[in-house]
Amino acid sequence: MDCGLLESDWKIKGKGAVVLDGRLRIDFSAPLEDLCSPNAQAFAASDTETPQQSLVALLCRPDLPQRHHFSSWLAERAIDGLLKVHHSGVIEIEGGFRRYMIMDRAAGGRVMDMSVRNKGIPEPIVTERMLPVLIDILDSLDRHSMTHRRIRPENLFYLDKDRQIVVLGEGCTEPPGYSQSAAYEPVERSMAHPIGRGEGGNTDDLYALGVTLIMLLKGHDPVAGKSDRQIHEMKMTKGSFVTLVCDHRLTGPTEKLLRGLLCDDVAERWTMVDTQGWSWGSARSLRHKPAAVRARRPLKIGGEDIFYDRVAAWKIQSLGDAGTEFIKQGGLVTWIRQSLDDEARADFVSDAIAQAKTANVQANDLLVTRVCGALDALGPVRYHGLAICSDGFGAATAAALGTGDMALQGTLTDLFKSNYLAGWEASRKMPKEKTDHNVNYAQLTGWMENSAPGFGLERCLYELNQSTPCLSPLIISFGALDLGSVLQCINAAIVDASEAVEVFDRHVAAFVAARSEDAARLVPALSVKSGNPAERSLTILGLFGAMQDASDCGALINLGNRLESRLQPILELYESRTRRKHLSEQARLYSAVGDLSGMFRVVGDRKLRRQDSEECRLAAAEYAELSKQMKALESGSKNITRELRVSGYKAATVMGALVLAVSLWFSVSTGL
Amino acid sequence: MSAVIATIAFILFGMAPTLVSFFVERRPGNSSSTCVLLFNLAGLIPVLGLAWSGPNTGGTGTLGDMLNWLIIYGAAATGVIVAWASPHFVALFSQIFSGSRISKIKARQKELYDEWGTKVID
Repeated sequence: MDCGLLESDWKIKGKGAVVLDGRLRIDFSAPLEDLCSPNAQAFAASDTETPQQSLVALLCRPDLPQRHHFSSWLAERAIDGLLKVHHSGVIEIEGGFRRYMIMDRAAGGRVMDMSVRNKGIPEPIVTERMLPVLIDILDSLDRHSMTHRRIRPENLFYLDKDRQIVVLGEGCTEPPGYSQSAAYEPVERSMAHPIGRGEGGNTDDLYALGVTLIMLLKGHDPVAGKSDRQIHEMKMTKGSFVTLVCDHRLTGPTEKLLRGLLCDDVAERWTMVDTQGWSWGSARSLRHKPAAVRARRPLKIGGEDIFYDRVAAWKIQSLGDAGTEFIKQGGLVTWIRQSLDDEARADFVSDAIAQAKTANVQANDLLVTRVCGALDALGPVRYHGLAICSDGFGAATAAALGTGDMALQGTLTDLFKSNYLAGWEASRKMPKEKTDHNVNYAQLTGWMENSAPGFGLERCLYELNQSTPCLSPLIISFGALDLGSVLQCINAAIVDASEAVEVFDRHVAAFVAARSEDAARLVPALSVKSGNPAERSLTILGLFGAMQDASDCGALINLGNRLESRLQPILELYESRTRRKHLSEQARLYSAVGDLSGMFRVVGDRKLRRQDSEECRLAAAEYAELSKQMKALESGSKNITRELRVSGYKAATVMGALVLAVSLWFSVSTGL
Repeated sequence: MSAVIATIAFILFGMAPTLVSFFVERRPGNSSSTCVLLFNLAGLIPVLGLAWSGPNTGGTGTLGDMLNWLIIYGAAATGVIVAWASPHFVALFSQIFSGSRISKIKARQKELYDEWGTKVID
């Protein structure tokens, strides 16, 4: 996947200034290099309503998804020690749309620049002045089930010019952990692709805090210049604590803290309760426990000798499609059985290989994924060269669709369709409370198997990212984050859009299905491939109505007028012309006040449609009967039908009988 | 005795049109033959009365009176004409009374078409 643009490719060469909402001013001619984030440019900003407030505007990279749920959360409240987000949105600049965030400006600059070798900060200053602030921040985040995921020395700032107040910088301009080097991430997350490291939990933030404390104390990065693989192996061999602390002298309490925070055993790693307990003087001690199993003999993968099971998984995944052939060669099973001394895993891998060899396409496709899952059960899911943590699929999908990366879209589509994740999730019993979604992975397969609007990868995107903006081309520039905003943005955008523009595209359909249960129930009606276009239009009107009801976003007059102009096919679903006219007049009244829900209630009344259909059937029957009668009448005037002839003879017989009676009476009375 | 002879002769020759009619038509139920039969009888009965009216004026003498044969055959001919004309008269009356009914049907059909369109024709 390609999320590695050069800085020159995404950074703007800003000129001039813009004023947003009539009060917020961003001065693009005043870049603030010392406040830039790895994936966001910083510019001077000001608010005309509070001119004394010092602000900075961060202009995000266009090809990366941002953590909107975190920035929205920060915009709603002030957390001591954490830079507040005052405003965020999307602006058009240099021919593209960029998300910006206006935040408090740290006047004292960064605490430490890690690009140079610094003198370490004395331990008392770190543990007594900085650490309490950071623990309080993480405690606040933990209480709201939030994570920061970008804790490191370069992201610590002094809020004041006197450099006395330490604050933690932003963590919402990039996917979680995206720009963190392997040193700051626990082993199980650092082996994932940066885009898919996942939201993680508070222990991941605490791990990064531990690494940050070491860097501040030492003044430099002890693993600088080492590759990610070397860092992984060092952490697995010696443990994270020894790898990072090396020979640095620490006081007993600080060593205890760092051993707890940097524990490589996920179950044993210190939590917020343990960390707060330490600050109050009581905490449990931990012994070093290796993060991976070391083999007696190395396994040669891609020309390298590999000793650890987790590193082997990482290396096999990095081989890409060649990984499948490597596994099938059989050396891996022997290595697991003999060098790792693990019969169970060897049997599992052997079974997976046997299934892949029986012309089972899916088993072959998932061979690397299954084997890597066996070698590194706590690590990320590895599929076709991609490694993504369980809670990182949302960000990966957002990046794939946001940037139009077809290769990544294809890989994720294949993985979601395979239904592997559902079994993997069940076997690992993953906790859901820390993720940004509540998606059952089996649902992903169901959504992917339906190619209709409201399903597919777009649906997965909005289900896995509850706070991602709607990426519909019509409203992408608005950055709409919720149902109400989407409707209001469509309402505003269609004024300039031509009649041919599809208002309800795949992104809007998927977005509303993911955000509204009522809408999700209506969306399958769009799936009918050979369906009546009028029924589809009616469903779309119903979806807009459900969205309006669910969001309470007010009148949508432009959208109402657009939909009213396209009402004719829907009205033609009714056969009665009088009823059509009546419904059209009623719908017009609702569209005039922008009430889409009312419009749908008028023209989408199922009971009325059934009544109309029944009345039409009766009318057709009556017409046919009348035609029959008229045909009989018309034919009777031209030809003597059998019926007429019979009737005539009857009349003639009656007349004959009368004449006979008169004749008899005459004969008798005259005495003949 | 002569009256009996005259009666038999009148029945045999006088009812010839009816016989011919039944022979030609050969239809079950209501038919023109019934009408011819009734008219034929209506013409025959007064003539039979004359045959039985007395020894001087009746008897076989009535067989020679051409007026009697004219009455019998004239009545039968009238029956034939009535039988032929009556279906035409019925049709004529039916047309006279159905004119307004067709107009009403057409008006109702137009109402249905205006309300429901081609759906009612399909």
